[in-house]
Amino acid sequence: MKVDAEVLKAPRAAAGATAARRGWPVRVLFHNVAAALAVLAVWQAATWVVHSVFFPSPLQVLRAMGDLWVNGDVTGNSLLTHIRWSLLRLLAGFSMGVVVGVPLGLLMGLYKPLYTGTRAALEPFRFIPPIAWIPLTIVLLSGFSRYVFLIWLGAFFPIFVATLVGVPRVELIHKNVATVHGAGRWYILTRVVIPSVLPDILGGMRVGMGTAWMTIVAAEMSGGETTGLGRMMVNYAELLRIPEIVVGMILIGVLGFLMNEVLIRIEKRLFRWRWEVSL
Amino acid sequence: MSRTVEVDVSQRFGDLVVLDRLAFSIAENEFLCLLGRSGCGKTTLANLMAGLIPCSEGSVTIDGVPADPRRHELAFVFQEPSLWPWRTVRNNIKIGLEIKRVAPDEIDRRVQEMIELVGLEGFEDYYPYQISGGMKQRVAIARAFAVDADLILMDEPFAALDAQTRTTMQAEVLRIWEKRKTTVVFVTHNLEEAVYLAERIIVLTEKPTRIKASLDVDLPRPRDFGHPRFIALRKRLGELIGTW
Repeated sequence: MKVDAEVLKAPRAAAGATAARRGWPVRVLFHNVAAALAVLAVWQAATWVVHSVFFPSPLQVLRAMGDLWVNGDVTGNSLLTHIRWSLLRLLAGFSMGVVVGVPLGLLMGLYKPLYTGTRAALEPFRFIPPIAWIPLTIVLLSGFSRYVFLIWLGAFFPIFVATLVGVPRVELIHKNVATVHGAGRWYILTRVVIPSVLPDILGGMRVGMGTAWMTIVAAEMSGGETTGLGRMMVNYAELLRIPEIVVGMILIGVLGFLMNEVLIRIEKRLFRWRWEVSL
Repeated sequence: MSRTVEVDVSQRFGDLVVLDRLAFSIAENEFLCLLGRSGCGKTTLANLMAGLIPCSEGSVTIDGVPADPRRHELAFVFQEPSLWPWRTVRNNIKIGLEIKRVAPDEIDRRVQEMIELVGLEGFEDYYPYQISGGMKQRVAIARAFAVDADLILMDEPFAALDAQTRTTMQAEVLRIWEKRKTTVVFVTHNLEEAVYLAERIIVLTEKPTRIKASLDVDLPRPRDFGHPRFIALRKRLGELIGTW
């Protein structure tokens, strides 16, 4: 059998690209560690220039972190407890955002009248920042449910909108292939529509994850429970203990980064079938 | 028993009459070419026969039963890229079998058979973006022949390929058709392609589309593009359709 020559080159090139994409090669890891150290160095230098008791050095922050981890904070909660609660609320709210946002986005994308007929009622909610809901939820909800509701609000819209706008991008010809062979709606939904929209959904999830973090910290700062990284930071702000506040900031950044990395890993695994464009 | 496909349809889009009482039949295992100029409604006819669009009047029947993708085995090879980019070559070929709920080991057996038949051994686990245009069309053809189709429609499947690949693919599709013995309706605007492939050619007029002529092609296979009878037939088709 005759096979075009340029085709034989494709697999090798593709295999190379896959290897490069998998994991972090040592060189990339080295660059990232160097960049992180550079940030620390600039920070350290800045503390020498500013020279204020309200501007802690990296070492002071590290010491505060160790102290919080071992001895707990002023309310007696250890750092791990705060992290655990923040993560739990975040994941609960975010999961609900996915569970509600994706099916609703698919439904409204596939049955356009459902969206066009309700958009004036639905869309205004998108422009009310989750933070603006805090006063209302303080009155109406309490504890865990309040946080989950606020995070859900933050994560829902990016996921919902990404799914909604992804549906029209499903190619008619891909659907026609299934139709000609006699496929029903369920087959077309699960085997054509969802795989086509999945890249958009994952993109929406990454944006939603960012909004979810933004919301959780604001919600925890607004009071209620005694746990959570946001709560911890406010407690120390009242005591003017800056190193502990910075510990909270760093942890939020690092945890958000790690969760985003997890989503990126999932994307790369799911979308092996896509070209990766680079310049 | 022969599975005759009977077509008797009219198609209107608003005031525009696309197909005007178009009636013909296709015998079992026949290779029929529908030849017509661009924009004459060939694709509409093919889509209609495959049940992709409902027809305004008339019907398409297979053995007297209205053609229905759920009851009959239909298949379509499109001109545009139609492979699912998220599926490998192997998993693209099995789509039709999967929809008809064929047993998994039977699916594996038939997919393997088709992969060998179209010469894609070693490429089973490649994604569409990793293979050439010609190979993608081979996969689409394998997908169509993998089901025991009552009718396979091919809508200018090689129009987007370069001349050499196109010639190879024409020979390939004949080889597979001879091996699998299936009824094929092949839509094209290319005169040589029609003469090379078809057992019978139906020449269509411009819109509103009617049948202008039906010609039997009794040239021996493999056909030679330079054979005097080949050239004479091509010329006759050119006259029927008007030069372009």
